[in-house]
Amino acid sequence: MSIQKGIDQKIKVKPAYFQLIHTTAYEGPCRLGSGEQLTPEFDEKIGHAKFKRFKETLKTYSDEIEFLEPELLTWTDEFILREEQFKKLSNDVGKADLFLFDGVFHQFPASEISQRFHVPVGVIGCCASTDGVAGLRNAGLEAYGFIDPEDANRQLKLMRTKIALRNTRVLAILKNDVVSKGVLSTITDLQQLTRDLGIQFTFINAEDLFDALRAITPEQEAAAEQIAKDLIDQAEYSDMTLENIVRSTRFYVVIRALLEHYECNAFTMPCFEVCATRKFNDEFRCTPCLVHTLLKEEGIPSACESDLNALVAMTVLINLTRKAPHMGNTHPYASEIKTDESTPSGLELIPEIEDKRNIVSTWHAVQTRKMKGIDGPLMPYHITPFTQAGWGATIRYDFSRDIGEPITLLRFHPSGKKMLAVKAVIVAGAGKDTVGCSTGLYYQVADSRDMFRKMLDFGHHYTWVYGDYIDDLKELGEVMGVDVVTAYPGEFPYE
Amino acid sequence: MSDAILSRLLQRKKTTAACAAAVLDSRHSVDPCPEPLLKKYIRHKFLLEDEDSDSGNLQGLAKRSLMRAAGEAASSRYLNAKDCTGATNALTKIILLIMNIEQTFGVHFTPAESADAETVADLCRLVRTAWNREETRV
Repeated sequence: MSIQKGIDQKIKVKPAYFQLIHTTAYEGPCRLGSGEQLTPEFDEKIGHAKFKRFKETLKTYSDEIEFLEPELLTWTDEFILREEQFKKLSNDVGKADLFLFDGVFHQFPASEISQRFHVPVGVIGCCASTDGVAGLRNAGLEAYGFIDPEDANRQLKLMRTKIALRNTRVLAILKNDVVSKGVLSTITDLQQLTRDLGIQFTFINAEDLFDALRAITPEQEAAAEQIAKDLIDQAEYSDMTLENIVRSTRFYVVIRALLEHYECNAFTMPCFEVCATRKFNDEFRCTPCLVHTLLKEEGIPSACESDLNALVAMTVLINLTRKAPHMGNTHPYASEIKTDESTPSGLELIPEIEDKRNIVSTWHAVQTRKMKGIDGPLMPYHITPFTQAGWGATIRYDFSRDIGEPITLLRFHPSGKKMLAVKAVIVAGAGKDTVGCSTGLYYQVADSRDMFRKMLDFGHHYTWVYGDYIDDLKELGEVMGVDVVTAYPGEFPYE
Repeated sequence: MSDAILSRLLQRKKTTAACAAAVLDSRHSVDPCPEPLLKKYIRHKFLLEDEDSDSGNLQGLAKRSLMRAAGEAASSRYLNAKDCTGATNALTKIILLIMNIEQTFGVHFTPAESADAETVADLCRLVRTAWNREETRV
C-alpha cells in the first residue's frame, strides 16, 4: 500500500469537439461561403478534420491532465442537441472531473450538456467561452472559460490543484484539544472545510502515536537507519551523531506507516501539547521537525503545530508548484529604526537588514532540501539538532545563498474561505547554525505594515516557496471559490 | 483578366482534365490510381508551377497554392487564418480538394477517412480502396 499523494493526482478531463452541420447549402447572416463549401458533406468532412486537429492539440497539454477518449459531437441548424449525442458522453459522467468543449458555435451544446448532467464544463475559444460560461454561471452551474487551448492547459493545471485538495486526507495527532494553544487562529470548522474544499481528517490520539513508535519493526528500524546514513552522506556537514539522527528518522518511518495505514496523505501534530507529555524528552528523543521536512520533500503536506491554515496553504503550494515549502512564524519589523527589542525572540538583528525598510522574517526548523523543486536535485544543507542536548534532527539551508530571489508566502484565513498571498524578495538568511526554531530568512515586502494589518486577520504561520505565484494563486482562488487577499499594492518599491 | 492569364487558365483546365482522365483510365490497370498521376492532377488543380515543391504533403501543397493565389508575400498568418467555423484556409482547400476527387473519380470517402488523409499517397490508397469496394459490391 502506498500513500496516494496529491501531486500524483491527475485531473480527468473528457474532451469533446462540437461540429455544426448545416442541413442545406445556404448563405446568410450567420454563414458565408460558396459552392461545395456550403454543403452538409463539407461540414461533416471538415468537422472530422478539425476534430483530428483538436485531438492533436490535446497531446500538447500537461501530463498532469488525463484525457478520457475524445468525442466528436454534431448538431444541426435545427438547433437541438439530439439524444444520441448526449449518449456519447453519458458513460463518462462520474469519471471526468471536467468536460472540455471546443468547436463551432459550441456554447449551446456545451450548455445543454452542463444542464443535463450537472458536470463542470470548460469551454474554449471565442465567443462560446464567454457567452456560454456567463449563461451557465448565472444559472448556478459550474463552468469555466478558456481563451484558447494554451489557456485551457494552464487553467486545467490550476484545477488539478483543486482536485488534489479534494483528495486530501489529513492524519492529525490529537492531544487535549483540536486547537493547539500555540495556533489559536487555526481553522476550527472542519466540517465546513470539508464541504468547501473536500479536505478530510482522521484523528488519532498522541498515545497511539507513542505506541506505534514503541512497536517499530526491524524493517522499519533498518529503513530509519538507512535514511539517517543517507542524510549524513548527502549533507555538507552534520552536527549530530548517527544515533540521534536515527531517533528522528524512526519517527518519520512510523508516521509514514501511519499515513499508509489510515490512507492519509497529509500530516500535522500539536508540537506544544505533545512536547508537554515529555515523551519526546524522556523516551523518544526526537522532534517532529525532520518528519515535516522529509514528508514535504516527497510532496506530502506536513505542517507544524496542528496549524490547518498553514497545512491547507502548503497543500496548495505543493500542488501548484511541485516545490517543497518552508513554513514558520512570521513577523515584520515595525519601522526604519530596528532595535533588539523589535527583533522577534530567537532572531538576531543583522547588518544586512539594518538599513532596509519593509523587512519581514519567517523562521522554523522545517526547511526542506527540495524547496526549488520536488523533482530537482537536493539543495546543499547541514544537519543540526533542535535541542541543546543534541537530539531532534533538523535540516538547515543557508537562505543567504538566494539573496534577491522572489518568494511567495501563503496562509489561509481561520474561516478557511480566504487566503493571504504575499510576494517578497529574500534579503538574508537567519539562524542557520542555531539550535531551536529560529532558522529561516529575512525578506522585503512592499509594505510590511499593510502585511501586518492583514496578518492580524489571518494569523502567524506562513508557508512559502521560491518564485512569484501571485497571479496563479489569484486564478486558483477563483477556481476554488476562495478569496485571495494580497499584501502588496502592485509593483515593488525595492531598495 | 488579361488574355494571357485566361489562356493559361484554360490550358491548365485542359491539362487537369487530361490528368483526371489518365487517373480514371488506370482504374483497371495493374497500378490503379498511381501516385505520380494523382499528384500531377492535384498540382494542376492547385495551380502550382513546376518550380513549386514536389512534396506529397497535402498541407504543404495547399499552403503553396494559397501563396500562388495570394502572392508570394502571403504571410503564414494568412495561410493559418481561420474562418468563423475555426477552419484554416489550407484545411478548407484540402477538404474541397477531397470532395473534388470524390466527384471526379466517382468515389466516396467517409468524413473520418477524409480527415485522415494527409498525403497524396493517402488519397491514392483511399481511391483504390473505394474502387475495390465498389467492384466487390458489383
